[in-house]
Formats: sequence, structure tokens, C-alpha cells
Amino acid sequence: MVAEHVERADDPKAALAAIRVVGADAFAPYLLADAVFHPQDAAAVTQSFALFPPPVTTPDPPPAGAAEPWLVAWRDWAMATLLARLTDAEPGGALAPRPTGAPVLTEADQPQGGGDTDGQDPGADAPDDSGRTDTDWQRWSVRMGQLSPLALPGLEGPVHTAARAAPLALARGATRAVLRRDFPTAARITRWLALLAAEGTRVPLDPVPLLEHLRLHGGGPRLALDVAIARRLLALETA
Amino acid sequence: MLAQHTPLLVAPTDTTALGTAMVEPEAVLSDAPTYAPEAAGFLLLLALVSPKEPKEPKGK
Amino acid sequence: MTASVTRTAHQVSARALTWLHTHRELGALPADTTADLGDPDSVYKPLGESALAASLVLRESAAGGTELRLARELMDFCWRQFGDGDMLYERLLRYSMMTDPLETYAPFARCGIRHEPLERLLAHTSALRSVRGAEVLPNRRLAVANAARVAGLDRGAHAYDWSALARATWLGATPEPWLIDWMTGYCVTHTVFHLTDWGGHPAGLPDDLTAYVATWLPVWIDIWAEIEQWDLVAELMIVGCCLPEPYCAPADWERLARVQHADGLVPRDGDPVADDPGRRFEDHQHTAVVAAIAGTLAVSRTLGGAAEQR
Repeated sequence: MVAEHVERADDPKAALAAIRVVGADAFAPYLLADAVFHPQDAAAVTQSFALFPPPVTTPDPPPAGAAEPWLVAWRDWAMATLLARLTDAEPGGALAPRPTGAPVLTEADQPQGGGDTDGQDPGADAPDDSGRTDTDWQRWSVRMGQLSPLALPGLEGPVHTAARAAPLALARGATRAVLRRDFPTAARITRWLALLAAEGTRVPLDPVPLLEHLRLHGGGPRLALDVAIARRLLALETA
Repeated sequence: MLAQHTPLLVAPTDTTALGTAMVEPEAVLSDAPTYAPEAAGFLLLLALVSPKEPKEPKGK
Repeated sequence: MTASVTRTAHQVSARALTWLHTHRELGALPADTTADLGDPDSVYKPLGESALAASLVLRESAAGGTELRLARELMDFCWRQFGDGDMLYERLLRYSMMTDPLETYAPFARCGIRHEPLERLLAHTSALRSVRGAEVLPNRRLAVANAARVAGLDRGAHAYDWSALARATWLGATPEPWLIDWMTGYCVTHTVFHLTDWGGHPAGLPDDLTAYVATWLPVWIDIWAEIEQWDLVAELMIVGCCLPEPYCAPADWERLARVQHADGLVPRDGDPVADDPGRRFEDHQHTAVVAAIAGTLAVSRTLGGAAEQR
């Protein structure tokens, strides 16, 4: 499936880049449905990593480093890890190293105001002009959404731990995105809610009607993919 | 086959573009709900089924 | 952190109250007004809202001496506008099914400003099945019930079924929080206002609705603040003050203080504010009322309580 996409493309460079944009989700048909993974698919992914190599050293997590390269590094790790699993590669043979850290969430808006300085870099949590911090639930949930390809079975790490620790912030973030009519962001965040719900975690929001709403209201291939994967995670769709 | 492609050249701008595409930011502008008279459908319905205002009674 | 909310909220409410007091004559009823009120929303309703804000400043007694004096003067001004209550009495006498005389009277009754003939008439009218069965929106029915409670009419055989009233509202259904619209936002705020009697009785909000509101309130404040719907944002901030565990985020208060003009006007939204004094009052009087109430309750709750807990 992945190999076919590259074979048929007029612009092979763009096609190989697109593999990385889809990221670990390119493996969803093999993980969540019964698509058969071929060696050519692995070759296409490997070629994409050869053409667009991830940095040798992983970027520092924010606030020490910039957010975007770090998010890219996590997504590359997810894809490389699943590729290694599907090809039974040697341990440590993944094409991208594992970054450190997870999006940081501070509960600065809790009623009693506790925990606003517990060990975080105080400079990183300073409110901007609109009174928001870089670690509030709004930005945290958007960042988790940018890591939505990690919300697949078989991947595990600090980002997953962060998601499991904050179903409320995920639910608020998804709700906020729907109300802003930013449906692609809503779908990405809802992926995490779906993963948590599938694991048996109680989430403050029923993801099922929300996914149906997004499917009917949202547009674009990325949203369709996020919604389809979330529905698979919840076993709303089979085969 | 893949291997038959001529060598591909990647410019730094390609890498930057890929990084940007991989981490789509949220929508810059919100389209949150605001006052919408056209959304007050129940008012319209009420207006349609309610009687017309009577004329001023005679002799008043 | 709490101290900063108390300080900012006090500043916002004191300025909003001062603005309402300073410009009160712009909200006076026309000289030829009768109980018939051709357009009840133009002046009559705003006067009742100003009286409501003043009555809550007086109830909480958390403001300074100056603000308490302004609140008393504003109450007196509004009462005089209503002919010392005669206008409300005549309006109810003429239109038995109308609920606004009771709703308008409640803030005065709360402060001990009473009108005996109106009270006798209210006791009779509000108990009639015909009036109780009138077809109104569920959150409006709660407004009437709370006004009756404040006026001392919610008792004995005529006590209201608060649980059933709460369940009938949009909020009572604990709906999907991501489908709320602007008008429904106002329905939610008013459901909470009336169930809790404007934060005086936080336990009046059923436990499951309290949990629901506490979960989603930050989201609704966020999305409507982003598009500068200050009137609705300030109403939602009142809701935060009505919860058993109040939600008063410092960032919300700093933001509201930033949008408030130096003279105390709080713009209803992000649109340009007119220069004409009459237009300014007409457009933004409601938001000043809301800001004065929000600030008053935030000061009171961050200092330690709800009216019923004192």
C-alpha cells in the first residue's frame, strides 16, 4: 500500500515526504485492519528516512528547545518504531532515536490555585499578553493533538503517560477545538480520548458522538484518517 | 521499482516544509458561536403559528 | 493568587457600579410611562437589572463603604423610577400572567424595600395553577421560582419543585458540551444564577450539574473570550462564583480588567464603543451590571464564602 503510493507518484520526492507527513498512521491498516505488510512498503519508508534523515541527536523538549522539531522527532520515532516492529528488525535498529519528555501540563487554573510553581521552570510558565501560559490545557491539548499518530496500539512512552494522566485536559481541548470549529485539531485530540477509552480509562466526554460529529462536519484527508483510526480504536468499525 | 528512481536531491527548504507539514498548528482564527438571529428557529416557528396581532378594538 | 483575584475583581466591580450610578439618569423611564410599557426591554428591564446588581452588592457587603453607598442610592433611584413599587403593582393587577413584576420586585424585597399591596397580590397570583402552568422556557421558569423564593413565596403548599425545574433545562440534560451555542450559553448561566440564587446558595445546583459546569466552564470562558464576547464571558465568570468550590481564574479577571474602560464601562463585545453617552449606556449597561455582579461575588467568594455559609 505504501509502496504503491510511491510507485504511482509523479513526484517521488513529494511522495516520500508524504509518507513522513502521514507518519505512523501509514501503518494503521496493518495494525487495526488486516492489510498485509510487504517488504516493498518497508523499503519505501526506509527510503523516506534516507532522503529526509531525522537529526542524529534528538531535540530538547520545550521549553528548553523549540516545540516543532521536537514534535517532528516524536512522530519520526513513532513511525520508525512501528516499522521496526512490522519488519522484526533488530532491537535498536530503528531509523529514528527516541526523544525525551512529553508535553508539559500545569493545572494553573485549578480553583485553589495550587501547584503553579512545583518544580517547573518559572520562566517557561509566564503568562503572555493574553494571560495564557505555554503549559495550560489549551496549548497542551493542541500539542498532544500534533502528536496524534502516537495514539496507536503498540506505541508506549512518556507522551502516552501524559495522556493517561490528563483525560480532563484532553476532553477540554477537544471541546474547545470543536467550538472554535477547528475540526482537524478536534479530531487529533479526540484520537487520544479514543485510545484512553479503548484502554478502559474513564474519560469526561463520550468520544463516539463526537467522532460522528467530526466525521459529518469536518473535511480533508487528515481529519478523515484521524476519525477513521479513532473509530477503529473504539471498535466502531471492523474490517 | 523504487530503486530505479534517479537520485533525489533534497534542499534545506524541503526539509523545513516537511517539518511544517508534519506538525499542523491549530487554526489561527476561531469561529466560535456568536449571536445568530437565523439560528433562533424556534422564534420563527412561534411567529408562524401565533395569531396575528388584533387590530385596535373599535370604539376605543 | 487568590489575593490577586480579590483585588482585581473588586476594582472591576467598583468601577462598573460607579459607572452605573454615574449614568443612572440615562436609564430613567420616560415621564409618560404607564404600567402598560410599550417596550419593556428598553428601560424597564435595564432598571431591574441595575437594581439586581445593587441588591447583590448590598447582600454580600464585601465592598467598601463608598460602593455600599452607591448601591443603596442606585436601589433608591430604581425604586423611585418604579413609583415606589406602585408601577409593578399596577402592572401585575392589569396583567396577571406576567412574571416581570415579581422578578423586578425580588431585588428590592431582598434589601427590605417592600410594597405590601404588591406582596398580597403576588402571593395570590403566583400560587395560581394558571400562572404556574404558563408555557415558558425552563430557565425562565427558574427565574420566576427564584424571585418567588427571594420574595418569601416559595413555601408550604406553594413550594417549587427545584429538582424538576433544574432537570427541565438544557443544563439539566448534561449535554455534549461541544455543541453549545451563544444563546444556549446564556441559558446555562441563568440556570445556574437562579438555582443558586446568584451564588448565595451554591448547594442549589445539583451535584451532577455542579460537576458538569466545573468541567466545561473553563472551555466556554476560553472560546468566548477569544472572540471578545465580554458580556457572556462575564456571565460565565458569575457562574464560576456560584459553584460550591468557586472557579475564579486570575487570568480571566486580569483580562476583564484590561477590557474595562477607565470610566468603568465594560464593553459588551469587541466592537467599537460609541461616543454618544445615551448610546453607550444603552449598549453596555447590561455588561456593567454583569461585571458588577461578577466582581462582587468573586470578592466575596475568594474572601471565604457564600451567603448561606456565613
